Amino acid sequence: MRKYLLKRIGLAIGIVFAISLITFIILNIIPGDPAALMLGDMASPETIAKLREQMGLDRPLPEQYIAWIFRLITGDLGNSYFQKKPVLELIGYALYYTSRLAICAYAIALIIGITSGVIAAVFQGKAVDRILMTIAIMGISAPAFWVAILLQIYIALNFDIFPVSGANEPIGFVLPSIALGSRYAASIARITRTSMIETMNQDFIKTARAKGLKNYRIILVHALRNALLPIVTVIGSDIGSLLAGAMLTESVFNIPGIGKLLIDAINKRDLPIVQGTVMYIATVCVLIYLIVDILYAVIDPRIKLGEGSSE
Amino acid sequence: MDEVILKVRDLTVVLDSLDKTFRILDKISFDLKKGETLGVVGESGCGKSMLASAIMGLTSKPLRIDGGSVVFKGEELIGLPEKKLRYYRGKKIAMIFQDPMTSLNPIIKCGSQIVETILAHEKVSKKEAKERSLRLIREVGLDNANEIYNKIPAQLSGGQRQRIVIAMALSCSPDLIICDEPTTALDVVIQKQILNLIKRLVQETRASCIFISHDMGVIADMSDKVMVMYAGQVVEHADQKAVFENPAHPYSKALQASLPQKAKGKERLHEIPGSVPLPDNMPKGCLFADRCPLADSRCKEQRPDLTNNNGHFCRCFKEQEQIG
Ligand SMILES: Nc1ncnc2c1ncn2[C@@H]1O[C@H](COP(=O)(O)OP(=O)(O)OP(=O)(O)O)[C@@H](O)[C@H]1O
Ligand SMILES: [Mg+2]
Repeated sequence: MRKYLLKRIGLAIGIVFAISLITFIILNIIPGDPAALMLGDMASPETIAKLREQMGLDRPLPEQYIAWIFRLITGDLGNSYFQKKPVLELIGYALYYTSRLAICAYAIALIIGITSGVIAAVFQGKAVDRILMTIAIMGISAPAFWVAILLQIYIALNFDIFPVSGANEPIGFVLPSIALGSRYAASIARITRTSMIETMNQDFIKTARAKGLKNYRIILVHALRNALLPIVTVIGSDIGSLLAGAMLTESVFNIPGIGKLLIDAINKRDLPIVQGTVMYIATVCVLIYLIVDILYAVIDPRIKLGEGSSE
Repeated sequence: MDEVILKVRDLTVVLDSLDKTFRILDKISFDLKKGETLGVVGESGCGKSMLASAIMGLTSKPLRIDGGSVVFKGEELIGLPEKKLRYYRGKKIAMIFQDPMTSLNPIIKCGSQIVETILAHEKVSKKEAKERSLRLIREVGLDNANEIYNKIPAQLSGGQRQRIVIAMALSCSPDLIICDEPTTALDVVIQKQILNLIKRLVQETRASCIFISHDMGVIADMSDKVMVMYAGQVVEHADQKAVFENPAHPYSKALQASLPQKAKGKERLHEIPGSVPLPDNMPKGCLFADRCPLADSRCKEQRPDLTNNNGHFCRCFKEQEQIG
């Protein structure tokens, strides 16, 4: 187990570094001089040159990269060009909204997705199964922002308790969470169903039945726990992408989360924010994958053994 | 010793396909006495596993029990609601499956899988159930029971796993143990050990046993009575001695001739030409006629019945002619 952990952590750190390098290179390749951008069209070349020197933009790129990495490690993501605030603070503020939205959305998705997946699998081929799976396909193909707009038009405008936009009160999270979560619920439902059906056909389920166990125990303890393994992997990448911010949903409901922060920054070419947010997203994704790998080993004791000890 | 604990009559299982139904088991009948072991033998696809499932009421989906009766200790099991059937499964009738690699839950500790069986049927504390499981693990010949208890199946060898399956089957002291090819997936040395273990435990617990195998040698070793199945039918059924010393059906004879110890030395193994007919392509006459060296035109036209010759049942025109 320890070896497995160390390997995964090493890999995670390597990936974050690789991403930082790529981000740095890309942002330095795209045309446009940040100093000129910040000062506006009217600035003289001298002022621009002075600012460039101040910002360290006149140094060689490798040197700039190393300096940036060092600042990154100490948690200094620089300041926003336009908002004049530390990027870290802006991300922290956005994260508060994004994580709340992500947690609500994913909680809804997990509960609805796993429940309906199990029900569909147990009643495989029956009407319940077909209805649930039709809804799931619709849920997967409907883009979140479209669901968001529909909810806005049909629910928020008709029922006063739901605000059309903004998220100052908890109730404001309900519709965005449904909009954002529905697609995840649908895909979790489909994966759960497939995985459950496959598991229910395995020999050990027949053993469980031959042992005279109750049905709910066979389904929940014997089948679902085995069937959850493939679900855990998608949970990881789903949460990763949710914490990276739901750009469109956040924009539609005007929630100041990570997604909105990034989109606004891109529009304004606020490079420190873009760089910082991308690094944040990358780190979150890598971290989530790491956690999922560890979780996977906890759920499936076979992994703990590592190679060699299983036949 | 003479009490009949299982009485199967005309048990029929069909396979529902889109437009047709096929018979997988065709009117199987037999009695099983207390402490007796019935060996069920036949090639792959003869319906041996189907018979085991049907007795336990475990036939599912495309397959369906279509008539017949299974009376266990005086109670009819066919048509019994799931809830009542559960009482029999695991408690009164236990099953040992073919492949211990797949018949145990891969992510649950072996010990817990035994405990769970006990808790499903008996009102005992978890602690008692655990103690009994440890005792059972020792009883099936596994040392350091405490260690084995906490292992998941992947940490055990095939033989060890099958011992766990056996411990699980014995956990509620069943009256009937159904073994569906319990050693087919194991290597030869382990096979012998497991067979001896099953034999010893069946004798000690005085349970009845249905022992399924496609290996005539194993059947000879394990059984008091032998039932030879072919394409879903019983073709011969008698005492072990009678079937082995005086086989009546050409199929039984062929199976015995294919035994390695009978085909001595470098002599080629006697193989039965052709294969078992599939449910959707059953011959009109005797199901074995296409592969039978004795078959004549009548055999290909009519189906023989199972006839009783002093307790030796056989389904063959030729045999009936001989007896007269
Ligand atoms: N789920 C199923 N769907 C369709 N046909 C099935 C199913 N299960 C069994 N059968 C058919 O039932 C027949 C009997 O199968 P069964 O598994 O009982 O054979 P068996 O004698 O146990 O063979 P083996 O030695 O391979 O275990 C076979 O012809 C098989 O094709
Ligand atoms: Mg079988």
